[in-house]
Amino acid sequence: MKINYQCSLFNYNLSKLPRNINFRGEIKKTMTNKMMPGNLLLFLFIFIISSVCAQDPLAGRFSGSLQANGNFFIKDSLIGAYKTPQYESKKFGSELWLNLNYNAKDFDMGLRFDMFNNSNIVNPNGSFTGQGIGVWWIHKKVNAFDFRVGYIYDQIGSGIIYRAYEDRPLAIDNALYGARMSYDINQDWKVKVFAGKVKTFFAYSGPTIKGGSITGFITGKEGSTWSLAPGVGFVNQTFDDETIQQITANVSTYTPSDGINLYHNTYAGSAFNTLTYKNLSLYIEGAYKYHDVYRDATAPLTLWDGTVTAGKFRDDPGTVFFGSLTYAADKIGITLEGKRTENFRYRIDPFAEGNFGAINYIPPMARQNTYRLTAFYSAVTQELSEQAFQMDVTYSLNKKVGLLVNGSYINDLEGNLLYREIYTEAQIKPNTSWNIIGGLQLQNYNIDVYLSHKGEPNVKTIVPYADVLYKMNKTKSIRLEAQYMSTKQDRGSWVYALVEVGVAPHWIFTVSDMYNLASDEIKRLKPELKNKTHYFTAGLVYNAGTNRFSLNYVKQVDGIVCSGGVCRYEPAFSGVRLNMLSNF
Amino acid sequence: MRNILFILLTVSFLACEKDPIKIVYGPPSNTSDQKVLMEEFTGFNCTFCPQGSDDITSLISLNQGNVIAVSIHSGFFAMPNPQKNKYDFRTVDGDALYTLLGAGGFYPAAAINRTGFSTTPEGGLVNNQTSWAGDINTLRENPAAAGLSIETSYISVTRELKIKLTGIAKADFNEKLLANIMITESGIVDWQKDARVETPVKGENASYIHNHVFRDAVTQIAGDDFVTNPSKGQTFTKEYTYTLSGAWVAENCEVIGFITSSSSGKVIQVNEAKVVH
Repeated sequence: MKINYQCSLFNYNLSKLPRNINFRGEIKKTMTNKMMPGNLLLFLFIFIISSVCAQDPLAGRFSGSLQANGNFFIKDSLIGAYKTPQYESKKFGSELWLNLNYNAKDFDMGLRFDMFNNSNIVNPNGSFTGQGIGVWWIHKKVNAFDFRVGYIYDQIGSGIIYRAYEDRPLAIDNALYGARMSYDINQDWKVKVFAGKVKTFFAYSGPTIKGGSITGFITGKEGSTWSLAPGVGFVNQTFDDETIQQITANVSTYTPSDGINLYHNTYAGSAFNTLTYKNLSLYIEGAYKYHDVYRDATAPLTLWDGTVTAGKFRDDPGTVFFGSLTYAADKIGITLEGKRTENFRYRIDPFAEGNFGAINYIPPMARQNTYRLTAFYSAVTQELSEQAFQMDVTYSLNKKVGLLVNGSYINDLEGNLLYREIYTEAQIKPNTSWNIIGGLQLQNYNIDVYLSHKGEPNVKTIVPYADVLYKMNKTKSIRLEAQYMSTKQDRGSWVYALVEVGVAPHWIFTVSDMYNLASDEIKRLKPELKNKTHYFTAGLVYNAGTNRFSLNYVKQVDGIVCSGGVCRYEPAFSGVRLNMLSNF
Repeated sequence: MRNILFILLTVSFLACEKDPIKIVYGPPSNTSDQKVLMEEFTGFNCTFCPQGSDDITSLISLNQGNVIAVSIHSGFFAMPNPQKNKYDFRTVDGDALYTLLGAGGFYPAAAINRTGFSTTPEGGLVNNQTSWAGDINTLRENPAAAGLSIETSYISVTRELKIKLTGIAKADFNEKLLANIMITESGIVDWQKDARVETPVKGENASYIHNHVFRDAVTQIAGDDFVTNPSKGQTFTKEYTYTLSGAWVAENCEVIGFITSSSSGKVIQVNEAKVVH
């Protein structure tokens, strides 16, 4: 059984940033002068658009969005919401993203202003301040030739060897800062190449990355029931001198038996294909990575005095095999997925932990649950050792009743149980006024591996849940959620309830509470649970056209927050949250 | 189509390096007079921190005492378990160091001479244990820019501790240097989570020995003025009088003194001295 050798507040997929921002949030000297000043970019953006509009005011159109979050921190030592800069001194933290896009025929460009003001989104236990142009890009299509420069979000295949994407709640934004060019060889085949550096907030990596792919589409004659969508991709990473020096400085302290082969360049390649035949669709992808240096927190390292410790850099090749078979018919939909992952931690900077500096994305093999207690224990994707299967079946009995069954089976490569889940759901719509959802979730969760709770037994949960929506008339509705988690492990059982009243088209009012039902035995082992606390939340949402405002008073238990198999630990929260979203 | 695929594959293979970079493996050479300060962040509830503490002990030994450790209990993992812990090692100054050095979610982590080889997500100066040995090696490749000695005298009746720092510049400086003093205590027995323990309670050590525990900062957290623009060969001194807490075992306490740069915040030189000789 492999275990994590580092205690983390984030979880094990999050990390340190690549080494480019100092503790004051400023870009380190070694990384300065690498970004165009924000004012110059803004000027350039306005100048180009003004020029285009001056020639033909109707040539294009502006669009954009604004998202802003504000957190007021109110200390509550009973739930552990204290002893962080926010609770002790800052008291307020905020984030803001302003997107501006301009589009005209085959030409478009965009710019995003990012602001983090004493924000805990980067490190839930810390405080980060920084603002500036987070993203800019210019894109043009000239017949079959397509290019984009600036910051680029893209992926190859399912993302196993390369994915640049943004996930704001998890503070992930690993856009490529560089250029991408693609060419449509013909109607069905396309070749793409890209090169650049990996973005990290307002700076970017020392190492560079380049890659490309060829994707195609093959089908039979007109009316054919089959098609293929094959593709191959590759990624090459080149370490800069500073990174090479730092890896060398670290590895040179190893005994030769723990030594590695260090190269300036790392390589990854993948081949993938989607076969579609009538109602069946089969996606397969195989990926291979070599010459890469990555940190393995579980690997034993022998020091020169003979002491064996844990955690070292490794250079073993990595592999991922992933397959997904989908059958979709009128009433039934079935998805079967399988994945095997070995040594596929892929970072632009080997010193970066978790998701910061991530080059790739490995698809999860567990359902992404949304209800509070069904999502309480989430299985984060394991990058070094995982073999997993997942099945998802949906069936519509009739127009009023739909059923869903999902199962997850995840082990490590040594056969140790990591995660099991059976999730069932029934949705009943007897008429237009009622929408009833209910089901049962069973889990077996390796808390030792996922949360580093060494020595604690796997958490076995049974979670019945219900979600009832009743529309009183065209404008008023009420929704009730009730969930109960039964478990004898970790923090014991929980109960959760929510009431939501909707007054269309503007208002939504919500009240919820979560309460711990730990047994005396659990409270003896975990005294912090003796202070029984209601995790009470109340708030409102106001919608006005494309604007949305929400204000919530929140007491939130600490736990794992996941998105697409990528997770992080969120400490307990106590305070007021203000969120704004505007699309224009 | 085939031609393009062939060209891409050929180019990618041609780009491959045949030989790896030559790495010379070996223990620390210990030829430098540069000492290294490790400010480690740890806590009772950090199950992997005892392994980190053992690594620090090894690094001190391998570097022949030229590594000086301070274990700061602060943050989420440092909250004591009221049912199991006798002590609470958290301090106001420790929490201030947590913020100053940008400790974050990963424990154990340590700032190595506050050089910021790597940063935490919010941009801190601490680094994980995989990198400690390498960071120390890198720092000890160069000669120290300053020397520092510490003299202590202790009166057990009054628990009055006098500390004298004497620095010497080994290069010309064009900035203000700051004096920093911390008090640590070793040999404290208290409950600790420990991933390596199997019995009697898996994952727990009820009689764990805590070493290098940060007790207090004698100086300001950001350092006190020491000397401005010293030239090569210039010596400078600063004296402090401090009353040791009655809760600490004076014989197990040490004084950690270090010089920091006012411009970069980095540690220039560090040394240690026993409170009771």
